[in-house]
Amino acid sequence: MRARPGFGHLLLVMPLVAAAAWIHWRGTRERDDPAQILSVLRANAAPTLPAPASCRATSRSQVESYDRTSLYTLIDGAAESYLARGFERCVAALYTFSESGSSPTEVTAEVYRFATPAGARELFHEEAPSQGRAVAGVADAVTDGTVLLAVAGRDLLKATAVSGGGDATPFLAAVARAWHGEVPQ
Amino acid sequence: MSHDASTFDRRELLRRLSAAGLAAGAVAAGAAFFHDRHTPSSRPRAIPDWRLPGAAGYPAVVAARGPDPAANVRRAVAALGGMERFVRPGERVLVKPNVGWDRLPEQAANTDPAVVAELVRLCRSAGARRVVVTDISCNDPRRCFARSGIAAAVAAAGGEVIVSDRLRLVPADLAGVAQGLEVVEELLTAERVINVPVVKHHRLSGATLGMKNWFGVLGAGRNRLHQSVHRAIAELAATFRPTLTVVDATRVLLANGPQGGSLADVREVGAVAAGTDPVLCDAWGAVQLGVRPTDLASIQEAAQRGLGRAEVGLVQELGTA
Repeated sequence: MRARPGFGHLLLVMPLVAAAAWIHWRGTRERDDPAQILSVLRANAAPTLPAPASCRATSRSQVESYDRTSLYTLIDGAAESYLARGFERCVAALYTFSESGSSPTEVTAEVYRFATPAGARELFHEEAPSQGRAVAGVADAVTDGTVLLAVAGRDLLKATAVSGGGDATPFLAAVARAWHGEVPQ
Repeated sequence: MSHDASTFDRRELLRRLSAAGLAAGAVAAGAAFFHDRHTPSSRPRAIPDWRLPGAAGYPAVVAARGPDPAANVRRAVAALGGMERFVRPGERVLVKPNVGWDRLPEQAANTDPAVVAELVRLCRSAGARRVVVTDISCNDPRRCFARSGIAAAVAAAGGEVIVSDRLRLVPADLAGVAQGLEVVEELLTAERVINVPVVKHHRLSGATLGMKNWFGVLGAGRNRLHQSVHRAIAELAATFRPTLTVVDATRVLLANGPQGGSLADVREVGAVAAGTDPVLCDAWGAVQLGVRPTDLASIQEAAQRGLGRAEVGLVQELGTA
């Protein structure tokens, strides 16, 4: 014999109904944007350099990291102006691009993280090559074929060709494009 | 012969004393062998003065110009009396270029390899027993020496490159500069020292010249000197007194120093100066950079302290070859 639903049963179901209603309300009112979450996560992560495959490099040296106390070991006296602009961290590596029939092209890449976007942008304007040209596909990037500077959010990318053989723009731009695709905006 | 536990004869005494002596000797030898002299507790070593007595009739600084950096070195040194005036047969010479950066010669962040190699050749021709070329690089030292062309050029000239990860650093008496800094030991054991800076822009100090080049023989913590960089540079000039200074202005990095990178920042000057007055050498280098010596506080302070003269008119210009 079945018991008929009573007030007691209703009391048992009510919390479940309330929880479901609250979840539904949250879902419609405060839906999290996955892109925003990713952006926040990336902004709080350490600065990164692109994987060699993503910029079509043959190889990349071990990535070295620097902080406010060790930056001078990478850039000596230039460190002071970086520190004054809120430098936080840096990663650096050497990329090698090998093409059949020509000697390899090597590019050093350094990404400097600042406390605010203003710090990165100030140094971008200070160090950008005076006769630089824009880099296709990368906003806020300039190169003169030997050096490339790009800025995105709190990060400043500086890439320098360190092997002979003419215009290194294709390799510098490849690093910048790959980096720009990963950097927090 | 027998003896009980409480007494022993002379032979037993000698045996025990010998064993104890051997044990003590082994401990002492082990301590001497494993003792790390590379500790702050070691006694600071004095910085030698590598200068030679002045010779009458020679100018303090000579500059030579032309497209061949090695020829410029030869002409400038010859006008000073030749390398034989500075290096005697059998001596150990240390050549200190600027090899701080993973850059090509064309990028002008390091001393030109042809200048360094020619100095090595001149030292060897003068009879130097050993010519060591070294610097504490900022970037990866092996890449710096290879990319700059200095490793290959020095080897071909008969010199020996010691990259910074092979250098031994020892506490030195740098009381006027900073406490607790260490110095390259090879420098302290050299009998003659030739400082070979490149002329270039430096974001903090305005210029990197000869006196600033001594940063490259200091170990960890040298960044402390950046806090009062002009005074520190003058202090380094008072501390390190080279036999000869050879200033490389083959290519001059005019902006974004010290590391540079862009070829647009580089100007071909094609000049080398050599001399025994490090302040005058720096004053000449400043002019090649387009800076008045009076605008560089380090040069002014060094001149005021009597470490040399900053009057560029005293430099003997040999003209273009």
